[in-house]
This record gives sequence, structure tokens and C-alpha cells, in this order.
Amino acid sequence: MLKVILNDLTRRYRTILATVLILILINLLVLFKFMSPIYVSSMATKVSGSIISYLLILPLLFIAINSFRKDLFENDGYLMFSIPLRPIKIFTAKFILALSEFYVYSVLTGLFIKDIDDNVLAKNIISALFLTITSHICLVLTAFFALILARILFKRSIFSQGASILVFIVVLLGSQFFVGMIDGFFIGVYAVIQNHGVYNYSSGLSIINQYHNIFSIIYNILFGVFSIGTYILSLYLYGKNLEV
Amino acid sequence: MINLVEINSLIKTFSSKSVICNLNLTLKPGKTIGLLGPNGSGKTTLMKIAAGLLKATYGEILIDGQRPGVYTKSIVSYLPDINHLYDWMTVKDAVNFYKRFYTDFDVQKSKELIQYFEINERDKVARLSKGAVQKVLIMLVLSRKAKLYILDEPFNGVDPVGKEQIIQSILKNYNENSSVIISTHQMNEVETILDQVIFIEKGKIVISGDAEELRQTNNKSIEELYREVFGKC
Repeated sequence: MLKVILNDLTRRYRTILATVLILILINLLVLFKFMSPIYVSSMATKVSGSIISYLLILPLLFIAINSFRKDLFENDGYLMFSIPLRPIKIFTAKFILALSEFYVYSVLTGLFIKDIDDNVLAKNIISALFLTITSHICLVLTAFFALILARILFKRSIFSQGASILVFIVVLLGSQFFVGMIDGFFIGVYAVIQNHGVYNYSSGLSIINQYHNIFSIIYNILFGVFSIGTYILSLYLYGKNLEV
Repeated sequence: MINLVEINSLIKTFSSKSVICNLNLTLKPGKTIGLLGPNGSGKTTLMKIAAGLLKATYGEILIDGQRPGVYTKSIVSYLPDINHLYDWMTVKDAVNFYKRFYTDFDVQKSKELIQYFEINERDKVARLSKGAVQKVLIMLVLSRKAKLYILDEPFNGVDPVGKEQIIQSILKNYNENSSVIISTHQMNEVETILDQVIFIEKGKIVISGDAEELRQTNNKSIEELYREVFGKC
């Protein structure tokens, strides 16, 4: 597995370095533009920061999963699928590298930009890093799953890569709906038990995690099961159904 | 002698189109086998199944007694009919890749072949001519001490001198424990080195046998026989 990671790092280090450099430059630009005391606490900082983050998230995800995509849709796959390694090792190595890459990118995207005014991130950097890892796992897994599914369904036709984007959106929306349903269900149950009456279910993932009780534990277990399920399904399709 | 390759009732279909139709075949070690047939006859598909890149729809293929998987990939050295090396790779990077993933990769042999083919290790693969890329690919594949070499169109884009060099390197590589399967359209180039010949058309074996016996029985060269079987003048 380490060999695959090393190989991909050798293959991608220029892209990774270039992306990191560009992200640092964007951050510095935003910092210098909004660093004056007048702007620091202003909405402009938050709004521009958020917009940049959201605009960058999908291109960065694309960059992170590009090595895996090329293995599936380009001639590079011959090299990777010919090596005498079990599919689980290749898949997991690719997943770990893509996840790490995407995580570094998104940390760099958000580190200076988001919440710069109140230092929330600086104070809670460790918990912030832990909390966001689950959503990153979910995104990278969904992207891998979408690519594999599109590759199996549409082979290497001109539609297949476009189809993988469609599959990605459908699966992502589906998973968000699933997560939202679990979240809503547990918050509802919790509210009834605690006699809280109306609860606020407005945005974001894992609202139930704001409470630390049995429901948040069940929620996290279900979320874990969902992620592991996607991982196993992707791995199964990758190992058993993929053809080069 | 144990069969190196055993194919039983192999069928491969692509969205209901049969590419390999109920194919049965056994190959012994120590042979150079020509897999010959027109375009679309199923040669590449058969080779890709043996290399573990495609899966059989029905039937089985056994290499050294095992189904395609991690073990067979460790003893099969496969040359695809396309350049599958990464764009960024230099020849040295490609050698390092093979060294990293294949325990049977012989660095000394690769150095000899690099010298023989007059390849520059520092050259980027993407900037090489088609013929030079083919030599690099042949160098990588033959530098492995594999039990089975599968060469799909090894003379693609190679000039006559290069073809002769490739044939010589295949001959030098001969080992009584390993076999070489070569698929090609250029029979005049390989006819002399083939021990066994398999003619394949529409996924079925039309003729299979010892090359010398076929020549004597039909009183024709393999190339003439090919033209007769596949209707080309």
C-alpha cells in the first residue's frame, strides 16, 4: 500500500505543491485586502471568505481525486491494474492520499479566510480539524464511488466522465438527505423526550452533534455505518467489476 | 508437463456482443506462441483476460494453475497495445516503477536492454517517438523474469531495424520455464521464432498447432496459410 502512495506522490507532487502555493497566495491576497481593522470584523470578510471557499471546494476535490480518475478513464489504468497487489490495497492507498490531499487543501482554503475576526478556528483548531474530517471522508468516498459507478456503467465512453459528475451529485444529495433525515429524527426524538417543543433544524450537517448524549452516539454510529457501507460497496465494485 | 495456460469454455461478451466464444486452449511452458488473426478477432481481449485486466463472462482461464489475480499478475509480464506509461515519466522513472512493484524485475537485464535499444534513461517517455516508446515498453516487459510474457502488437510503429532488435531480444530472453505469446499482423517478422501458432477469428480458434507441423502439412509458410484462412491475397 505504501508503494502505491509513494508512487502517487511521485506522480503528483508537482500538482500538490502548485495547488498549495496557489491557495497560500489566494489566502494572502484575501488577508492583505481585508486585514485592516475596519474590515476585520466586517461581513465582507466572511462573505468573500465563504464565497472563495465554496468556489474552490469542488475544483480542489477534483484535483485530489484526479489520480484515481485517470486510473479509471485513461490509459494510466493499465499500469495500476497490472501490478500484483490486491484491489483493497490499491483502493485504500488512493483513498488515503486523496483524502489527505483534499484535507490539506481545504484546511489551507479555510485557515485564514473563515472566522478570521473572532479567532474561533485558532482557539478550536484541533476540534475543528476532527469535526471536519467526517465530511471530507464522505465527500471523497462519494466522489470515488461516483467515478467507479460511472466507469462500470458507461465504460470509457465520452459520456462516462460527465455521468460521473451526475452520479456524484445524486449520491451526494442522497447521502445529505439520509444524514439530514437521521439528524432530524434524533433531534425530534430528543426534543420530545426533553419536552423542548420546537427545535431549530435549519442548516448544516450533524446538528444532533451539538448535544452530547445517546442520540449523538447513535447518530455517529449510523453515519459511520453509512461511510463504511459506501467504502465497502466502492471497494467491491472496484475489485470485482472494474475492467480496463 | 504442467500446462502454463489452460483455458476452458471461455466466453467474453461486451453488452451482449460475443467477443470470445467458448474458447478452449492449453499452452505449455518454454514455447513462443503466435496469436494471429484479423482486427476484431478477439486477440487483445483474450490477452487482457490472461493479464487480469478483463474478466471472463463465462468459463475460466488458469495461469500456472491459478485464476487471474495477484499471483498471476506477479508471473505475467504484459505488454499492452498502447503506451500505458504516465506522461510525466522518464525512462528511469518507468524502470523505478517496475522495480518497485515487480519483485521479478531484473535491473541488470534492464540496463543491458537499455544499452541494446540505445535508449536514454533521462528521456521523457511522452517526448519519445512511437518506435522509441515501443522499445522502452519492450525493455520493461522483458526485464522481468516472468513465467508468461504476453506481447500485444510488439512491433507497433517500429522501423525494420527496431523490429529485428525486438525479435533478437525476445529470442535472447528464451527460457524453458517461460512462454511468450505474441499477437501481431506482421507474420513475416515473427514466423521464424514461433513454436506454436493459433489462428483466431470472431473469438473462435480456427487453427491451432505446432508451427513446423502446420508448414509441412500444408506445404505453406505461416504467412501464406494466414492469407488463405483469412481470405487475403
